[in-house]
Amino acid sequence: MTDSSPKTLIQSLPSSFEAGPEWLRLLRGRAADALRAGGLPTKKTEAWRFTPVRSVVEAVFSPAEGDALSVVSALPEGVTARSLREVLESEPGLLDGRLDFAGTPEHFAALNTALFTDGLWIDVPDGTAVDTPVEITHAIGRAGVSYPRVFVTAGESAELTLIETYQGETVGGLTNSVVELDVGRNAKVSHVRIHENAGMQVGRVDVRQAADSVYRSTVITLGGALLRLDVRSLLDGKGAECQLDGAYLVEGEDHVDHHTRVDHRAPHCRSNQTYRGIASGKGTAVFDGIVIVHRDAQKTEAHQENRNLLLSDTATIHTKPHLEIDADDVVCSHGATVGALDEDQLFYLRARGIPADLAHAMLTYAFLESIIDRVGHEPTRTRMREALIARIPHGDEIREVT
Amino acid sequence: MSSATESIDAILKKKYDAGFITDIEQEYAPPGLNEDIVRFISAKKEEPEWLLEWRLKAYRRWLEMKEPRWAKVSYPEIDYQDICYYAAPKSKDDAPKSLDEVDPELLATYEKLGIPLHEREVLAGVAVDAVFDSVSVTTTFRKKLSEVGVIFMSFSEAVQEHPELIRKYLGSVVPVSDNFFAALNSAVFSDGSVVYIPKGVRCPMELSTYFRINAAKTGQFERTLIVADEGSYVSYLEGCTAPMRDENQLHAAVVELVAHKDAQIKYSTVQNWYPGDENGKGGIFNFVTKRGLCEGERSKISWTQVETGSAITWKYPSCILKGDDSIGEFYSVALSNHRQQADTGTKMIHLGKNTKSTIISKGISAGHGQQTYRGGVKIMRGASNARNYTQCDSLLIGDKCGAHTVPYVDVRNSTSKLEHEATTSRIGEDQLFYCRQRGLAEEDAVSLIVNGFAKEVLKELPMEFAVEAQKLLGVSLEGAVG
Amino acid sequence: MLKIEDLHVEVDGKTILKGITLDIAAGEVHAIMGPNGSGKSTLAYVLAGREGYEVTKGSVTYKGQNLLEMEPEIRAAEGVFLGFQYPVAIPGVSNIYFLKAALNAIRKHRGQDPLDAIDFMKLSKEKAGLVQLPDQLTKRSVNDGFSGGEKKRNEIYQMAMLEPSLAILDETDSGLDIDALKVVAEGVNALRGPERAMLVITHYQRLLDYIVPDVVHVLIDGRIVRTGDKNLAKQLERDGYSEVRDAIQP
Repeated sequence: MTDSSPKTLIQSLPSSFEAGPEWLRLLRGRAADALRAGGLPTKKTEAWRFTPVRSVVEAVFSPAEGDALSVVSALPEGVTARSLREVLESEPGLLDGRLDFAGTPEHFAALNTALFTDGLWIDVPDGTAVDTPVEITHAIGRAGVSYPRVFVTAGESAELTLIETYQGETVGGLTNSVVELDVGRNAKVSHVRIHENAGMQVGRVDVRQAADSVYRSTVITLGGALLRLDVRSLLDGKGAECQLDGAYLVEGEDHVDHHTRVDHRAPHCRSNQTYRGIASGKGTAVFDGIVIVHRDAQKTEAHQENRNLLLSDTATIHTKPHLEIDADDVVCSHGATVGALDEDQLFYLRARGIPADLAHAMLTYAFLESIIDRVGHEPTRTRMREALIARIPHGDEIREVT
Repeated sequence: MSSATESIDAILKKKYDAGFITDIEQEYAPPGLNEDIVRFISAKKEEPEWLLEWRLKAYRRWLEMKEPRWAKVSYPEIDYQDICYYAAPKSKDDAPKSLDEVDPELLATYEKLGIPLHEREVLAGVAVDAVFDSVSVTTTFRKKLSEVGVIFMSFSEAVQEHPELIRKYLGSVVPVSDNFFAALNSAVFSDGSVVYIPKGVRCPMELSTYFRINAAKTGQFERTLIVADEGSYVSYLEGCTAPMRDENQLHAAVVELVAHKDAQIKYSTVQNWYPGDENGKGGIFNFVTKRGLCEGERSKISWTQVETGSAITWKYPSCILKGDDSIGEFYSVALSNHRQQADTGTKMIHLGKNTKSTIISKGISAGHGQQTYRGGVKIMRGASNARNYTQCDSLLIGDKCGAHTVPYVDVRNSTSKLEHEATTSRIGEDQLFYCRQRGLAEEDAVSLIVNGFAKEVLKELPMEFAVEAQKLLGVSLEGAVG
Repeated sequence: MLKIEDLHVEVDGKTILKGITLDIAAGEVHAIMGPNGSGKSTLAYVLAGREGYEVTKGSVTYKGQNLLEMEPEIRAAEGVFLGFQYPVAIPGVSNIYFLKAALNAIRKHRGQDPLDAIDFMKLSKEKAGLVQLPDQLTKRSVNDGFSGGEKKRNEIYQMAMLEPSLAILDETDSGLDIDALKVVAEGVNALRGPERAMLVITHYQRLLDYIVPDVVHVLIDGRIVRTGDKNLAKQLERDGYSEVRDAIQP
C-alpha cells in the first residue's frame, strides 16, 4: 500500500491483485470485477433504499491508521485465534474455498473481500466447548477506512461465545467489516456485538449452520453517524436453530439500519428474530428483515418481531418485516409496531411518585433491556446494560432501581 | 338454497363459467399504439380538445416510462404494439337510446353472466353500468338516480354531459404519470363509469359496473371516477369476467375516488377475470391503479376486494388520508390456484390528524399459485394520533405454492401508533379430519375452512355479492386438493 | 353392530394395537379403560378412519360392512361418530353452519331431504339444551376460543344433532370438572337407546359413575387383557392398572 492519498471507495480498488495465494487473488478479483461492473448501491437499490448511502459512496477516505482488530480476552483452552495475514502467508492453502462461503459478495462486503489486509481466524475444534467468551475489539485511531475481517469456525459439537466490540470516538471514518461464522453440526455459537463507534459503519455477518446447530446473535448499537449492519443466517442442516436479536438507540442525526435475512433451506429448522429500537432527535432507524422458507424446508417454524419507540416528531422509523414462503407445512409469523411510550405505564409510574422524566427514562431503558436480557453470559449482559445506561438520562438512578 | 354442502358441491364441479365468447359484430381500431390511435379513440368519443390534449400528454409521458418489474410476478414481455386498444360492438347508427335498441346478443351475454339489464328484472336495489370491451352498453336506473341528483353514467356520456366534473377530477388522485400502467390507461382509456353523489345524499341504491372483455387480442382500459360530495354516501361494486382464450389479454384500469368532508365511499370488487387454464395458458394480465383521496374531514373510503381471477394481478387500492379524522380501510381476499400469480395489497398514507387505517388481507395459495401481500403504511409528520392496524394472513394448500408478505412501514410522528401482524399456515390435517368425521367430503371441508379463513373480509361485502364471492372461492379452488 | 377381530395397527412403523377383538351390539355401552399409551386413542382414530394408522391385520365390520374400506365422511354418514379428545378449532366457520353442512351431507347420504333453516334451528335449540350449551356458543366459530368444558359439551351437542348409530367417545371426561362432567354424562345418557351403541374410552373410572357401561374392557399395551361388567372399573380404580398388568404377566 504505497498510495495513501484520499480516494473514493471504488477508486481505491487496485487494477489487479498481486499478493497472496492464487485462490485469494481470484476471490478478490471477482469481487472487484463485480464492484466495477455493478458499482456500490444507490438509493434505488431495494436493499439500500432507506440508507443514505451516497454519503459513503461519494466520500473520499484515506486508509485508516492505527486500526486494529485484536483479541482482548484470554483465549480459552482449545480455541485458536490467528492473524489471517499470518495464516495466508504460512499456510496459503488452508483457507482455500472457505472464505465467502455464501457466494461472491456484493457491494460493501465485496469491497472488504477485495481490500482486507488482515483479520482474525478463530477456530474451535470438534467437541471443544468453552464457557468463557472470546472477546475481540476493533478500534480506530485516525479517521480513515478500515476493513476488519473475522472468520470463525466452530467444529462439530463445539461451543463458543464470541463478543465483538466496535469502538472509537473518531468521526468521519468508515469501518467496513465482514464476519463469517461456519457453525458445525450440533455446535452452539453465541455472538454478541456491541457498536459504540461514532463513525460510519457498514458490516456484514454471514452464518452458515449445519444440522442441529444453534446460533444466537445479539447486536446492540448505541451510536454511529451511519450504521448499516446485515446479519444473515443460512439454516443449511436439518434441525438447526437461530435466534437473531437486536437493540438500537438512535439519537441526534444518526442513521441506524439493521437488516436480517434467515434462509430456511433445510427442514425442521427454527428461527426467531426480535429487534427493538428507539429513535429520538432527528434520528432514523431502519429494520428490514426477511425470512425465506425454501421449497423443501418443511416443518419450519419462523418468527420475526420488530418493535419501535418513536420519541420525537423529527425522528423517523422504517420497518419492513418480510416473509417469503415456498413450503406449505410451516408456522411463520411476523409483527411490527411503532408507537410512543405507553401512556398508561407512564401514568402508573407517576402515580407512584416517580417524576415524569425519570419514568420516561425507566420505560425507555426497560424497552431495550428486554433484548439484553436474552444474552446468556452474565458479565456480558452487565456490560451491555452499562453501555445502555450510559446513554440514557437518569442512568444512575435507573441502575439503582433495576 | 337448502343445503350449504349441496351448493358447495355444485360449485366444485363448475369450471370457469364466464368463459364463453359472445358472437357479435365488432368495430376495432387497428392494433398498435401511436398518437393516431389516441386521436382515433378521442374522436370516436367526440371528446373536447382539452381531453385529447390530456390523453396525448399521458401518451408522451408513457413513452418515457418503463414497465415496473418490482412485483413478485413473472410473465413474458408484453408487446404493446400487438394489442388492439379499441373494440366496440357495432351499433346500428348511434348509441342506443334505450334498452330496446341494445343488441339482443349483448343483453343475452349479461343475462348469462347473471346480470340482467332490464330494470324490472334487475337485482333489487342495484343499478348497473355494463361495459363491454371498450364501451358502456347501458346504465340502468339512471332516471331514478337523477331524481336525487346522483350522476351515474358511462365515462363517455359524462364527458359530454358533465365536462366540468370530469375536468375538475380526472387525474386529480392518480396523476397521468403516476406509473406506467396508469399513464397507458390515461392515454387510451375508452370507457368506464362516473359517479357523483351530491351534498348530503345517501345514494338510494347500490351502484355497480360490470366489466366484460370479449374481443380477442384486445386490451381493456377503463376508468372509474367516483366523487362523494360533503356528507354523502355511496356503495359501489365492480365485477369482471372474460372469455377463456389461449393468449393473455391486458387489462389496465384506473380508479379514482374522492371523498369530501363527512362523505363515505364503499368500493367493492369481485374480480373474476379469466385466470388461464391449469397449466397457466391464457388469462388476463390485470394491472390496475386504484386510489382514493379522503379529502375532507371525517371522510371515509373503504376498499373491499375478492380477487379470484386473472393470470397476473398487480393492484394496490390505496387511500390518501388527507382530511383530519379521515378513515381508510382495505379488506382483501386473494386466491391463486394453478399458475396464478397475485401481487396485491394497499398503501395507506396518513397526512391528517387522528387519521385511522385498517388493513385486513387474506391470501390463499393453492396449486402452483403465488401470492404476495405488498403493503405500505406511511405516517407523515403532521399526522398526530394516527392509527394503523394491519393483519395479513396466508393460507397454503399443497406444497408447490408460495405465500409472501412484504409490508413497508414508515412512521414520522411520535404520537401515532402502528401495529402489523402476519401469519402463514396451512390447512391442518386435524381440521380436515374433524370435518370429515362429521360427514363432510374433503373438498367441502377445504371450501368451508377457506371461507372461514376469509370471513372477516367477506362480511364487508354487500349481501348480494358476499354469496357470489363465497361461491367463487369454491370454484377457484377446484382441483386444489387431492 | 360393530365387530372387531384381531385388529393390529401400526403408526409410523410402530405396532400400537396388537390384536383387538371386540363385539358391540346395538343398545350396548362398552367402556374401554387403560393407562396412557395403551392404544385407546389409536383405536378411536382407526374406527373413524384417520390417515396414518395402518391396519396390518384383522378386520372391522360395522352393520355387516367392511368399515376399514370407507372414507371418513362415509363412516360418519353411516352413523359413526367420534367425540374427539382434543376437538380442533376452525376459525371463521360458525358452529351452527358447520353442523348444518354436516347434518345435511349425512341426510343426503341417507336419502333424506335436507332440513330447512327453521327445522334445523328448532332441532339445534333442543339438542343444545341437552348439554346446556349456551346459544351464543352455537354461533361462534367451531371450538375457537372455547374452554375445555365447552369443547366437550360441543362434541356431545354435535353427537345429539347427528344421531349416530355408533358413538365413540374418546376421553370425553378429560379436562372436565365434576359439574361439567355431570352435564356431559347426562347428555350422553339421554342419547342411549336400543338402536345405538356406544364405546366410551376413558382413563378414569370417574366417568363411568355417570355413564354406567354394560361391558368394561381393559386395554393395556395394545391388547384387551380383561373384560367384565361395571364392577371391573371399580376394581381398577381401587387397585390401579399395575395390579392388572402384574396379574396378566406370565
